[in-house]
Amino acid sequence: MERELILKCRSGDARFFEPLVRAYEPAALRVATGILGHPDEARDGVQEAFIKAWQALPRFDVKRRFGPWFFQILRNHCRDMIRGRRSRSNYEVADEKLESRPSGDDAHPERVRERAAARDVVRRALDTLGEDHRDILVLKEIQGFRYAEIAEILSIPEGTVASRLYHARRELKDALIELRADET
Amino acid sequence: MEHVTHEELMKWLDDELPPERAVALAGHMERCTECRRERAVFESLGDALRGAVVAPASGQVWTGVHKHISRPIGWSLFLAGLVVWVVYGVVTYALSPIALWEKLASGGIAIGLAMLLGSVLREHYLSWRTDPYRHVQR
Repeated sequence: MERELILKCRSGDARFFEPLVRAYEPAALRVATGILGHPDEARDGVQEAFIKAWQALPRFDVKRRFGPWFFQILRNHCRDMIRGRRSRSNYEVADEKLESRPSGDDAHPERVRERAAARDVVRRALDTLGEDHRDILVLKEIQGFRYAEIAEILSIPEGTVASRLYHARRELKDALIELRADET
Repeated sequence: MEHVTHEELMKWLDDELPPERAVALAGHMERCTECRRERAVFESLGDALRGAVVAPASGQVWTGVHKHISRPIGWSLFLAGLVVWVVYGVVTYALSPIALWEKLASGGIAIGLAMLLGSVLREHYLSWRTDPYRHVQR
């Protein structure tokens, strides 16, 4: 099905690209938000990555799966965006409209503030990691890719995924401890 | 089972181990406090990460993508047709039995209008390029 769509896209008919965009958009937005940190930037990044993918479709090997190939493009594009802005801006505190609507005790302003602060610490901790560790955590924890998919997206051997994940998780844990210590 | 490597711990946590190895590791987990503690830490890290990254609502990307990928085809067709008609018109006009001064006067007006249009388009393009808010409105 996906292969047929890609072959039709290659003939220049953009209509057949729409099902692919719609199918991969939610996951792409999660990954891009994880890497870039800002929802608006993530939307721009995903849009531009899909345009790049469209332009590169003539060179796409149809024996491969579209997903990992597209996420490779998306990840590289997000990295370029970060380098483009030189210093990564810190993660914003979640926008009010993006907050889940709490009820009961959870709706208490103090609780809402506490949760927002906790999220902010995690985001800042993720922001301190190196690109390789940040990306693998986003692909595994935020999107839930399998090791084989992560290996394909990151162009690393499948055996490396587990060890890189271990070091990334350890680094995130240390960063969280350090940030929380700074706050107290 | 005596020792669990970091890689195996990750694979067990992420459900990537072969079933028989996963069963063996589960047995080890029940006995080993250190491994259980490490697993709990990594699981809570995962939960914290998933809670911290709030992605925007999906469903809005296709409009922007479609605008970009369909525009070049429309513009190409328009420009190709325009070029054919302009060349045809110029050749037909040049070969017609109209007096030379009439051809020169008409040519001057046409070239002048084309230059004016070109400079207006150029100004618009330059101001768009330097507009810091050009990405704000979708």
